[in-house]
Amino acid sequence: MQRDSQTYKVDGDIVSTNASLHWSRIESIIQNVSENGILNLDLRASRLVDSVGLNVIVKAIKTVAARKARVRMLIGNNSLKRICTFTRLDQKAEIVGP
Amino acid sequence: MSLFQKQERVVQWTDLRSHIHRTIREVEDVFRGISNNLDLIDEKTKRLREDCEVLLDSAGGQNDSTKLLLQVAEVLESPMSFLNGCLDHQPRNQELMLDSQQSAGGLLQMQNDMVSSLEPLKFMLVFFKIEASQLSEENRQTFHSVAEEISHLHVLVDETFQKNIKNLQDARNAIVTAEKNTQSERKLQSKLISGKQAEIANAIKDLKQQIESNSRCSADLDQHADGFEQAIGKLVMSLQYEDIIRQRCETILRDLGRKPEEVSQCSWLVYTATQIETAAEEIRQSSNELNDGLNAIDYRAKELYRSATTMDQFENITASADGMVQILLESLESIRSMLTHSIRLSQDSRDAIQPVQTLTKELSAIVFEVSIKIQFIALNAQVRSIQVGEGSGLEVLAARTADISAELRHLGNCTASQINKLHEAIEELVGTIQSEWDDAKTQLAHVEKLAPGLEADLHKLRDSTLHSLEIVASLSQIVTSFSNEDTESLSRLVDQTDTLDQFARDLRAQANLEKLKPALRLKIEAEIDSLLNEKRGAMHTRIHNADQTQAFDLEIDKRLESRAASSKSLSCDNIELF
Repeated sequence: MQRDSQTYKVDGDIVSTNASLHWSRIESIIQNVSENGILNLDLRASRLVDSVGLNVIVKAIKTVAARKARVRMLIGNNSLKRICTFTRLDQKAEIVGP
Repeated sequence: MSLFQKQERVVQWTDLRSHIHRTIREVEDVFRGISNNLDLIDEKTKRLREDCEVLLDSAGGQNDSTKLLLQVAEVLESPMSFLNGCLDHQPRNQELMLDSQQSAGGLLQMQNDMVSSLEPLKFMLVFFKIEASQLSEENRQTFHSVAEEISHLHVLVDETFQKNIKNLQDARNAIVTAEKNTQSERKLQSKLISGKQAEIANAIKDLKQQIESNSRCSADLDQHADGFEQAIGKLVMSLQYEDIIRQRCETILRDLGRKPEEVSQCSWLVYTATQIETAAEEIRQSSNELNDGLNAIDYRAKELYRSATTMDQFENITASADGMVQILLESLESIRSMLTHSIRLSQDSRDAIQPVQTLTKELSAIVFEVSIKIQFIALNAQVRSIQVGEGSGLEVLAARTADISAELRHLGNCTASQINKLHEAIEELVGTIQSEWDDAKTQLAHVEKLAPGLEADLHKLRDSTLHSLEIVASLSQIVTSFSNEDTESLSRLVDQTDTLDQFARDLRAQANLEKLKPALRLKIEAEIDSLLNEKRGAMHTRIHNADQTQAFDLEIDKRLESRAASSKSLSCDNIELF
């Protein structure tokens, strides 16, 4: 891990029922991301990200990009990786795993 | 003792019979396994085809998804136009605010001028008092009453004008602040709105282009789905080998131990060996064909998966991170935020400007009162000076008061005109701001009412796309797993062929055809040919039907039934293999 990185460890799936909670947590962490820094979104515990969850991730990527920093997504399963490829999230953020 | 010991070279018919039975069971088992897996794949393929359609429609923004996407864009259009309208009003509002600032500044100056104009009255009050002390009691009272009126006027001016000057300064500051805030906020809003509008316009343009290009050519995903179905069709056709092999093995079994009396033992052994070799060859061919078919299905499934996952023929799919669904979701959020902001901005401007509106009314009344009072004092002073008579000094003071009154009347008229100007500007400004405020609230209420449903539908569209993707992926995994399982089971068939080949070799060795005299050998060979010819006509053979592989509905069950029926009805017309 780099020194100027911040990490948000997601404790499960990001779906419509908990997306706003995840966003509020991510948003507060983003405040600490410095210019040229990295936000690690650790999604290794997530098996599913639905459309609302995807919205949260895209919002995080855009907010971080506005701070001239970048997002690294840690993925733990093929299904999520597939979604990242399909939705072109892999072109917006660095994808690591599975 | 080994079954194939070289020194014996005598095939035990019971061993051969038992092995052929085992071969039939193995063939049945392997083909049934593949057939069952194909049934399952066939069923899934139908679902897959539907999901590919959903994937293409939703990812490419076609059919129902187009309606939804355009509907959301339409809902966004009205508030966008409204906010643009607010931006259009901005130069006029700014002009009015600047006018108001100038008017307030002018009024401030005029108030100061009025105070300066009234200043001499303070000295005159002293003169009035000095002059009054030299007069008779009656005339002194007259002087005092004028002096008292002047004092009252001073009190009024001191009390109200100071307050007015302060209020005017505050009002002017409030207008300056409101103007600055509005200018910077609207500038920001203008940038946001134009950015959003361009983004939505581009997305709609891309979507329309995409729909148009998709209607002209079939998508890669569709082609891969076709390829996948064709591969399944080919494999189904390969399953007909089961009947061919079974019939061959059953014929061998039937003939075992039933040598016709007129046929020589040697011919019979070679004939049986040839039948066994043919059966082994048919099993090998079927195994190779099935293996190729399974590999083709596996390859096609992987291609289909790759195509579904990347959708690389689309530059911009609706479900992507910067696709139409995301843009519209963000636009709905932005428009709500912009409208809320606009409402707050209008409210702040209105709160800043409304006191100025009240102040102009108050100012107007006070200036009028001061003007009337000074005129009244001047008139009163003139009347009293006439009453007192010449030489009292009052006529001089009255004349000076009249001058001041005229000066104040003039200033009062200018002030009233300035107040009117300010009042009109403020009225127009407040009217525009109020209307923008009301309209923004209406727009926001409309968006708030529709947005949750539209957002839910947009998410549903993207979820449905992701779900279809999951199904395509799951099918691909199932196919790969079946393919591996079936390929493994095919190796069991190859093991059977090795044993069959060994039996054939032993039978040929037992016949010892090579050691016979040429004449006898020719006779035996003719006898073998005759026996084989007899069987050829009654045997199944591999048929190829290219048309069937093109069909979408593979109807594997029906195909299996028809294969069973064909095994009974095929005639000697199909003699490709033998």
